[in-house]
Amino acid sequence: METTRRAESFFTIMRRIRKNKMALFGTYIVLAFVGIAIFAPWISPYSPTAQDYTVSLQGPTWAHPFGTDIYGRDVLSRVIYGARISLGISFVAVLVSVIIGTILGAIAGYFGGALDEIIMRTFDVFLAFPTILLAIAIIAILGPGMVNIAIAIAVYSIPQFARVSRGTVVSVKANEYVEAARSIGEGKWSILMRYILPNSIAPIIIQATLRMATAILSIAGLGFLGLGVQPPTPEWGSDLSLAMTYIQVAPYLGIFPGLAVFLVTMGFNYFGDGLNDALNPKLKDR
Amino acid sequence: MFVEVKNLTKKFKVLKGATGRKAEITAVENVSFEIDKGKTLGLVGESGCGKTTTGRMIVKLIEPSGGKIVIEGKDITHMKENEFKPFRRNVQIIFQDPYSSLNPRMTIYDTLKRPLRIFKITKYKDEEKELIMKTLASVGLKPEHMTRYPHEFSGGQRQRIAVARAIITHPNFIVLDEPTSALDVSVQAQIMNLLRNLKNSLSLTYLFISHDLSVVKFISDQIAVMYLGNIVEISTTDEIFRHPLHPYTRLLFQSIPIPNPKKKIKIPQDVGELPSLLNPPKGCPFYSRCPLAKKKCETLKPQLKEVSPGHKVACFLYDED
Repeated sequence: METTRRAESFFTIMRRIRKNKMALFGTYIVLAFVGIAIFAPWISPYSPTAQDYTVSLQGPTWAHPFGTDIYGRDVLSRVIYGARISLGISFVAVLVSVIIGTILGAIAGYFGGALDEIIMRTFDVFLAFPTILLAIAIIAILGPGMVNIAIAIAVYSIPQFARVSRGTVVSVKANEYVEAARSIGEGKWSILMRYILPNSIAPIIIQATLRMATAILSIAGLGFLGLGVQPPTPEWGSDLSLAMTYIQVAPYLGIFPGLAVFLVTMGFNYFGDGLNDALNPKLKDR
Repeated sequence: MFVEVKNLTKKFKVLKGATGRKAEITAVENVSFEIDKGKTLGLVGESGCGKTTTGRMIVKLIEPSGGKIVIEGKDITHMKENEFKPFRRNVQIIFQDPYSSLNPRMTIYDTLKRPLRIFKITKYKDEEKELIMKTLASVGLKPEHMTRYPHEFSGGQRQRIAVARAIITHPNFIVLDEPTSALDVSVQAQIMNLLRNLKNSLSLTYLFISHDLSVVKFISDQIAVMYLGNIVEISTTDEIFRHPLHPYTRLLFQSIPIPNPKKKIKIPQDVGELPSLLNPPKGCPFYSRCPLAKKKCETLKPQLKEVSPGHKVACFLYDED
């Protein structure tokens, strides 16, 4: 595989991303939302759960730039804290699935044979279900809640990481440095961990970034259906669902949580695409 | 006898045609040779003749299907990986493409440190570092190269690193699988000189695999010519260059460019393609291309026979009768 020939430095990759306008745009959005999530307690003007019935269902004002919901809660603060929930859950879910999926896929690709068949055919069963249906089914079994949502997302993401990692490992293991490693007496696990996996991470990182977008969308989707994070925890999907109830009296309510979901999903997608181009420049520069 | 290979055979299972019928090809067939301690055997032949497969079987990167490999009096043919592991220290291989034989994510120090750690050659870090520096110096690299990654080096330097990795465990026997064919001509000469010097200073035994006869001539004491998985001629370097016997060997020698523009060379005529291994010739493997083929060559396979002391050839032209 061509991409494994040269170890790309972090700076080379950043330079390539900077040249790509859409990727740069995506990077800024992602960074902005990560910043919002981390600094939520300092930048949000109100508590996201504090109710104030005197200002129920107000439009945007200087005191409440994004307006207030039926309970008089500040929508801006809820959107800010919502970033914490969405990014937090999706980060944990993606991290877990990267680790489990990559290792299982790498084992399947490296050892091959019956083990490969067992692992990959099992994952094919998971891949046969539409992701959101699978997530709903898992939530139906485990019940709603942040940890269970993370589990649901991880379950449908693991097979996808396993696929990417298996494919990459199969191509990386054909390199002569793997044979060279055998000829100096390296054991199987050492070859997998020291020679194959470090040369297989680029596609996994790209996949992880793109998967963050899907995960955020799933969290919002589950929240909207009432299967996600339960109120009063601020979460974009459940806030959207609440906004829908009052869409005739307060149509602006759904705009901001919806915009947040849209922006962050788009940001991760552009960032992931840009990263893909930066890590595989040969595909682009033609 | 340092390395002894007897009737070594490798068969690969392949899927044939659109129907995916299972077939078997014989990549290496009854190959036998011996290499004395401190000597070099050159194994030549065109691509696909099985020379690389032979080399990889000897260092047990590929399992042989038949025959015997004896190194320093020990039969290693059917050893399991854990039994063979102590031998790996003594038996090394250098690959053709230095762009693919070094792990791009490991620094040169890490690459060279692995064999030392695996075979527990050095006890302390200082000792390890010293040995790595010494080995780098012996292949013509500088100590400051240690912390760099393979992509920071040229092809020739990379091949030097690969050589360093192979010699750091002080092996006795090295298989060199076309170590210069991926390099520029000017660099080829440097690497060849390095390999010859190391052979003399470390008293190494080489199996030198190449398709380039001039390179093989430079380093080998003996030359074996392979065609379609078979050794067709084997002799000392001087003898084979002076009296090439097999028609294939002669054809090969005609293809060596002569560095003299005035001298006319007879360019071999259209010799056609190598026969498919899926459908190998019944008789002599060289029958389809041989200018001197006789009738019996089509159905009978000539065996390797000694025609003069130390010179063996597999061709009916040299039968007594």
